[in-house]
Amino acid sequence: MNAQEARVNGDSPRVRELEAALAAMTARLEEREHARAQLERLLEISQMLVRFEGMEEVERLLVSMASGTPPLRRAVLVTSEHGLDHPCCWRSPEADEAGLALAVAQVSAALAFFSGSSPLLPREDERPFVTLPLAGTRGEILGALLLEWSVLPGEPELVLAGKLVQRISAVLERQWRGAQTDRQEDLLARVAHELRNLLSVIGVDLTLLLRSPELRDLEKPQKQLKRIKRSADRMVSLTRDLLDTASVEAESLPMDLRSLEVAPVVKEALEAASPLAANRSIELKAEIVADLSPICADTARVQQVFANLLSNAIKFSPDGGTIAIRAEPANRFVLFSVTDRGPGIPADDVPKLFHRFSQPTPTAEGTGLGLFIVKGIVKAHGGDVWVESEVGAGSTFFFTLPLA
Amino acid sequence: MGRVDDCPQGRTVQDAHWRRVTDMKRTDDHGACVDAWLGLVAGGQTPELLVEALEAGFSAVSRRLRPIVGEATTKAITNRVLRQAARQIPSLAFVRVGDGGLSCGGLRARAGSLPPAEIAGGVRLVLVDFLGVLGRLTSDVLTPGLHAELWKVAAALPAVEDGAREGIQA
Repeated sequence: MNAQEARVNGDSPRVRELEAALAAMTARLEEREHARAQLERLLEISQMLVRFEGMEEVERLLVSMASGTPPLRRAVLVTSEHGLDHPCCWRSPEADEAGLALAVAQVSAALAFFSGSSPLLPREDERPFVTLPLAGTRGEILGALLLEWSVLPGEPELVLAGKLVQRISAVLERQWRGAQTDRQEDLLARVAHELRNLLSVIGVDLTLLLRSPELRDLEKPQKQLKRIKRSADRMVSLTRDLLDTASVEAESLPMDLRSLEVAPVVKEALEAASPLAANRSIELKAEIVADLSPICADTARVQQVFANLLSNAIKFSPDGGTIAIRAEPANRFVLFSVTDRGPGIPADDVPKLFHRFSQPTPTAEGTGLGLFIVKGIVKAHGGDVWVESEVGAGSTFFFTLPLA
Repeated sequence: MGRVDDCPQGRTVQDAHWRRVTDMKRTDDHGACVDAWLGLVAGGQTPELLVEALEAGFSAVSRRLRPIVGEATTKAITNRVLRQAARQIPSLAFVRVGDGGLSCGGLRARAGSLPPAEIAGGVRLVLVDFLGVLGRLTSDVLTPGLHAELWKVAAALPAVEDGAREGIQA
């Protein structure tokens, strides 16, 4: 056999080399194609789930189902919140386009059935679809999920589908409850705003009545009116706290930042608290380090912080005790502190002290919003707030405000 | 789409049952399955025993379903079926969805004063609709297994005559 014949017959070493190279190239191409398909699958799953946070576990389940036997070909999710306008669809590269319309129609019909808007649940006989409702722990229908495998699935696939449904339902329920809370807080803020306006009118009228010549010298009506005025003032304060709470939650606390000298700020706070302290013979002491640079702050908000901290300190101080306010420099901030010699706060209660509605020692007047608002105000200034406390020895609340 | 000739893996589920099921034109002929079951467990029985049969049958079916699709989904399907059935047979409004299936205390308390035909119709409707909805949702993947659960429970019901019980167990 000459060289030319050997080449033709494929016996030549060169031909064998070329064949081997071709086979290796084909294998690499197949690998690449497989990798591309996997990547596409992952990408499509990610696109389906991108709208929902916390879907990592769902994503893992979908990927494993897509490479299972039989492989999952399609998933269509319709949520009660987004409705039929925004079905989340995923399909593997092997799934046909034509099935999508059937799938969306089927899952939409299932959602309508379970939501009670349709008495009929049609049957899709052309495809091996599995459609399950997504329900919350209190029975609310959150959506429906359709899955399609390459062939009719068995019970093991349904168990996986059940797991998938449970995970998606948990995520949707969390979001649903979050949205519900947002709506409640929005309503609360609106109601508080209206109440404050109405109470302002009542407050003004009561002040005028108290000063009117006809009632000025009558003891009983004066007493009653003053009691009504105190209650109205308390309600104004409560509604203001509710509004501030809503603003802190929404991170939209209105602020008017200006350069403020520290000494006058502390002096004003002491003057505002002194009548309350005097009632209990409590001494208010201030120590301000000399030559403090001005702070950049909203004067009304800073007074609100002091008012909250000082009223708490007065409330928990023994009669005849002392409360100390201190202001000192701390890098690019001024560090303020309010120290009382009250009963102190148990260590277990300290971490939740600045949470909403937190009241380690519930009082008749407190709402548990004061320290939450204090934290919101200080944080809105770019500062920080914390407490150091020892049971039986008292507490010191610290907060920082930035230099101007 | 249903797997007409498939037997569920737990074939211990009585051959007698399978003969009945495969004799049907479709495995998803839930009406025929439930009628045959009711004929066995509650034929000519008092309304109270019919309610008991519903509770026991539904409990068996949902016990099989719950580990597969989860508690919340099982309850959602049950709720929907009950709500829809109560539109046709108002006395079904006294049935509640409980943790283990159906809670029929309200219906049982009124069973004596309701026409037996209404109770029998209600029991049939709930079971047929539940199996029908599940069949449509799952392409009948679970249908054979769920039908089998009904027959398993028949053997344990006091209303079933001994002869029939032996037939089921054979």
